[in-house]
Amino acid sequence: MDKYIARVMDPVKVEIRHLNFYYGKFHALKDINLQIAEKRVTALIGPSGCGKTTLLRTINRMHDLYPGNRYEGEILLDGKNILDRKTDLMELRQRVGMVFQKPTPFNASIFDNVAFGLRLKGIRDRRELEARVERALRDAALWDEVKDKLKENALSLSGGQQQRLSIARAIAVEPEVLLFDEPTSALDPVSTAKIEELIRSLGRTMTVVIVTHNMQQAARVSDYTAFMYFGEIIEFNSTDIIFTRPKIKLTEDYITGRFG
Amino acid sequence: MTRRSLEEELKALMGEIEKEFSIVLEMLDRARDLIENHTDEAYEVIMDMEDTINRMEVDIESHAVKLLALYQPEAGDLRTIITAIKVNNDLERAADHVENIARDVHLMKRDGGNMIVDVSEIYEKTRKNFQDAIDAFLRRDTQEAREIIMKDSEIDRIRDRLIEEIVGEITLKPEIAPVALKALNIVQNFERIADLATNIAEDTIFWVEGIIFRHGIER
Repeated sequence: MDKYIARVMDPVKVEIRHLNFYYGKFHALKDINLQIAEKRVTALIGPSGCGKTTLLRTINRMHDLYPGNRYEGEILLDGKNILDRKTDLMELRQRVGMVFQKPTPFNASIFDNVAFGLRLKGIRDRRELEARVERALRDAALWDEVKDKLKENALSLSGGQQQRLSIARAIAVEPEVLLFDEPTSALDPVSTAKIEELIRSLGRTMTVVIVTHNMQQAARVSDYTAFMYFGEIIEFNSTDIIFTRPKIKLTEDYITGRFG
Repeated sequence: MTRRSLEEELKALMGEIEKEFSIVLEMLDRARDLIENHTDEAYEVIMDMEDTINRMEVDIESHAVKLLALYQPEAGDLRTIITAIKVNNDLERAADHVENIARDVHLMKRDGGNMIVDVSEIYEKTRKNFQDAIDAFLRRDTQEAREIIMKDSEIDRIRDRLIEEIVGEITLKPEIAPVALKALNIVQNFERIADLATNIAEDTIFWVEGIIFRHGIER
């Protein structure tokens, strides 16, 4: 199959080299080579089952939570291979945060939801906690809507607010990389627009990788785009090139809806 | 560069068009000065400005195409980008016509010739229409845009009169034909610039009201 994998024009935060991943006997990712640019947004697109979520989850080793999974190759975070057995997974997941498809609020107050990771990190000082919760909520564009009800249960928030709360919780611990797994697929258009704006703004200060079913979303928010098909990266380039003049016909067929 | 919102992108795109406007307007003024006080340096400045416009045209078009592909704009946002593409093209063509004027003036003066008709009126009216078209565009003033469209026929009449004068001069003194033909080109190019001002006014109406207003047809 023809492929075109460009090198990024920015400093590289994560470099994936010859990565293969297996769910038991199923070969889900095949010889993935990909550079993820620092403080930029990289989107992974492709049809269902192409491996984009699988690839995303390798970057903070989420697959380790389930038995029978196997990695080959390297994922270098700032030059250090995170697939190394000695990697401290707790520390890795603080450096590489994740936001899931469905909002994941805990049955606790809005404040405690955001403070959760900070307390895990050992921060106990009330004033510091308050300052960092406020900063995270502001950065997640939620502060103005919740500042007067921080003690209320997070489950009382709307779906869009709950997703921004999940983002606030993820960014409170100041991760270097933030992974988004279809973050707006359960949201209405207005909430989606807010989250997209948020992803664009987060991409200025941290490295963001987003998996999305919605190609237009990838076009709107990302700096780089990888198109995946059957566990392989078919094309990777800056988003404007992918969406205006892709080099591989399969990519063009996918983004123009002429697939199959 | 990191990603900006569509709103920020559209603002930046229109900022580029505004810059393009001001350069073309300055070129037009410099072409007028060149007719009065020709120097090789003044001619070269106009040529350099035309190069700048060519580069800007490509940059603006590429920016607009990216926005269409990446943001899937609708309604007013879509019209803004389509208008930017059209006005960008109008401005590049206007700059080409100014370049033609400058080249004819340069060749005429180099060969020791002079303008055989007075072009001050066609220049003044063209410049005013062009400036008014820019102002109407920047203010999104469709009333003003409609008035500019009405004024185009006045410039056509001035052009026709000047052509008659030039043809008369050639009939009387055939030896001045080479100079006269350059004068004819200069007059024709001024009139084409006025036509482009009309196009920009029509583009303004499309941008603001969503109405295609051209050749007397409204749709």
